[in-house]
Amino acid sequence: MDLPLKFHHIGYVVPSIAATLEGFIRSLGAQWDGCVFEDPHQKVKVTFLATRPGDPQIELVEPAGGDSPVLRFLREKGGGLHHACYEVEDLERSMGEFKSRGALIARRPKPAVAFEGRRIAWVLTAEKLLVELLESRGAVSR
Amino acid sequence: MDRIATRLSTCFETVFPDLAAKDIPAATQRSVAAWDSTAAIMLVNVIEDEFGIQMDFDRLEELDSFESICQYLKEQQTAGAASDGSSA
Repeated sequence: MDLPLKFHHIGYVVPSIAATLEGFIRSLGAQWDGCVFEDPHQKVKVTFLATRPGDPQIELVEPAGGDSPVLRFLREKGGGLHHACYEVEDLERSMGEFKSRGALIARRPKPAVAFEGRRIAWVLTAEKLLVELLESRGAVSR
Repeated sequence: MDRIATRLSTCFETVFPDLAAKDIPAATQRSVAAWDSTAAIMLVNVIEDEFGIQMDFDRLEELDSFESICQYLKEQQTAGAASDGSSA
């Protein structure tokens, strides 16, 4: 791939962050920074768990509202591993690159509260891997 | 079946090859077992390619039937025609 992907986190959908957080912390020996973000654009609540500094994190994702995009996943699968997130320099270019390799656009770029307003977009690869693309800090928003 | 419905029907045939043509106009997420979240994304992409539009992914939850998508496409067409008219 022309555009290097930096692995950022994996997303795990849960019905309730509050009800599952302690279990994840205990099972993984993970650190939690105490922050839960509610994102009106993405219609989810998220929080992050870290194991070692600098390593990819685990994002717990809870639906926020009856039209949350993860609500259907929760209904169909009962929750669980949902997506892999990669940080990219150029969001639009990365989406085009994925599309040229057979991926489908699953959501177009929108700012994300959990990432200080940096934009995220979603693609579904031909192998049915849902990928979140996170605009890197230095990127210029369009 | 009008032209939009006919074109939409071909999109359904692409995404749901096991769905009989006669069942497409009445298709809903509840009636079509294969219409899961992955199929919904595929359907949007196929429709966008067919109609040359960008659909609002935030409305995916309400676009849960052939009929509702057909109505959405007609609204888009009307809005597009109005926009073309206003800019002329």
